[in-house]
Amino acid sequence: MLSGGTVTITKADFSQLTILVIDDSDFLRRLVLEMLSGFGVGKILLAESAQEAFARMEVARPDLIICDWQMHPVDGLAVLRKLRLQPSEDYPRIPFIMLTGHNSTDDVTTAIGEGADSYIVKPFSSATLMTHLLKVILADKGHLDTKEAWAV
Amino acid sequence: MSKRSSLRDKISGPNAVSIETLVERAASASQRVQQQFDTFLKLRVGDLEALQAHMARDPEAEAWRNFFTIVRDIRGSSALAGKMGVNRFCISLETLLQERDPADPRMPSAIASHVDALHIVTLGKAGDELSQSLLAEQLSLAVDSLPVIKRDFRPTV
Repeated sequence: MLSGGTVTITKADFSQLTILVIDDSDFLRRLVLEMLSGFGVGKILLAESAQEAFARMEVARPDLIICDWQMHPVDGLAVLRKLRLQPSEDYPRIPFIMLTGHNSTDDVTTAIGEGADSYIVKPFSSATLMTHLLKVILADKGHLDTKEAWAV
Repeated sequence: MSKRSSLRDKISGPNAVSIETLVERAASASQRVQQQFDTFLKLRVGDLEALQAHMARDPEAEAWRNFFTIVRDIRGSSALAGKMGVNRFCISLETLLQERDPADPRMPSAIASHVDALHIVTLGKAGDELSQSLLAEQLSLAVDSLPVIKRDFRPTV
């Protein structure tokens, strides 16, 4: 049983979720892909760079983003800043989980301060990933979707 | 204006499965990838060895950036695979690349020592985690003996 705030959840069906994983390491992408597949996530988008991630978001809007901080040449913090500083119909407020090898308080504060919804320090287990996913999912209230709104 | 459904609504489907079961499924799936770490490491160490010659010729060459990127890849992957000895070698090598003078005459041998350590791991001859930890400590001491100079491998964003 895992909980997010005051809400507790014992069962889940992730088949309707689309999650974008951004990591420049092929090994890490495959590992997170396998974990998310094991969770039964319906659609998993993979990007090995910030550029590829934004290109993928043009085609399919993810429900949630999992992004590595230490990427090259554009790091995960730059991706997060772009998403949060330019909220628009292209980049609505998509929940964002930062992956990192850093575990200092300063780094956590920086990531959260920039708008990350959660922060996972590597190495991590599938149970840890699930805990953070549920935390972010249970905290999500849904957001105005301007593209959808304009279409109505 | 419409509002998209919350993510909580999205995961409340009729085919919901217990969280424990999902975590177990994910753990066994990820274990398969973790078992492939040795193959991954062998390939990436081969890439590092191939780049070393280019780096010796030119301290500003793109080969340095590529080399650094591979080291970061190995470091992050080793952490997830639980290979902490490899992880320590990479941390020491990252410090060497980012914070020491590439033109220092001792630099090539310092880099080679780190790559050799990684190579020995791929051969399965680096001993247990404690032995690797002691070796990583020796490598760090070698790095500490070199003059400090900061390098940034990230281009301006």
